[in-house]
Amino acid sequence: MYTFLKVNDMESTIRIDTVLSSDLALRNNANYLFEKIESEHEPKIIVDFSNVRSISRSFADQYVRRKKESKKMITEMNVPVNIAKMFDVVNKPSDKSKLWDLDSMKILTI
Amino acid sequence: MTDIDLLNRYLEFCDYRKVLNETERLDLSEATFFRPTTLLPLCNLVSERRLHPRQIEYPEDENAAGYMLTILHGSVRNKVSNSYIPAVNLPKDPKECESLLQRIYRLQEEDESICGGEQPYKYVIKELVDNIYEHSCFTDASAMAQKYPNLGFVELCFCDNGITIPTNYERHGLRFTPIDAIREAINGLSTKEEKTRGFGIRTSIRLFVDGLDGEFFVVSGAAAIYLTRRYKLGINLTKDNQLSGTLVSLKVPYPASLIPTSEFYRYVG
Repeated sequence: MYTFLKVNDMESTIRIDTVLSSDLALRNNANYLFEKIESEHEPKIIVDFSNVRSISRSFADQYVRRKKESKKMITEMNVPVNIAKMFDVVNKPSDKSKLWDLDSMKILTI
Repeated sequence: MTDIDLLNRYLEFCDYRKVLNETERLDLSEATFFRPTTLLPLCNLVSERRLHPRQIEYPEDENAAGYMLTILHGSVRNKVSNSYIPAVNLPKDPKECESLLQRIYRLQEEDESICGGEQPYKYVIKELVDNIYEHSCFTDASAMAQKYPNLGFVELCFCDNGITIPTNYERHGLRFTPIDAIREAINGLSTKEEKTRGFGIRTSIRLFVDGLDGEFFVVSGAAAIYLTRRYKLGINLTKDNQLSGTLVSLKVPYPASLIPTSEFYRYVG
């Protein structure tokens, strides 16, 4: 199982599950991933999502942010359906209306 | 009658702490049963105060004593169980967190009826742990989980000794009362500039309270909030009951039906 696979001088592939985990979590880990990506010489990077089981919204959000900021051309492959759906969620965030009408909350002092 | 179980478990911890403050002894001699929301902040207190074993009166009840020692030291001995995860300390470096997260995930791996399935369970753990790293500036933080099949629920608890939610807002120029600070955090007001931030805790609550009919309880500094489908409570805490840090507890019915994938994305979207 590879971590980085140099395809040619222009492109390499990175296995996200071996760099990080099958369960993607924490914004900091997304930053760590992109440190690795940015350290590669090739301008094109393919992120292989094979074997990824779960992803948090925070990780997905940070991944999308770092991808937009990167000067490299980054694409994804083998993205499981549930992972793709989370990227859809962060790319189209809902309005942050008040979750509950907490103004009607009962207040105690203990 | 409003059931404020998690609040009562937290107040048990406060009672133990008060006696410790007055007598310099942690007297657990009469305890017969510990829940994560009591035990996890107790473990943190023992660690933070560097209590000598002579300062701790362990429970006279053998089962309670054995459980406490397992939870306190189980993570060191790598003890695993299909009904609990001992208190796991979060490393300061998030890059080292993966193995610990995998330990917490294990509780659900062999039992799909925990917390609505793999996705919801892992999601809430990841989001709450991420908040600890992103906002709390902790020196000590830990997590614990326990399944109670006979009592019909699962309890998760996360506890850190960081700067608290109100203080975090203050450091970013936002002043709220303690309760309002927690309320704003729940509603998704982030201290970070990006508009796509601030969804972690609110979506976790939607998933676990709306989706699974669970209970969500957060204490941070001088206030707490308790949320269920049926009621919402804000609690101003007197000095003896305040927390130098943040505690988040969740209580979810067990067994819980699997949350279908489409429903899962409705809650986290």
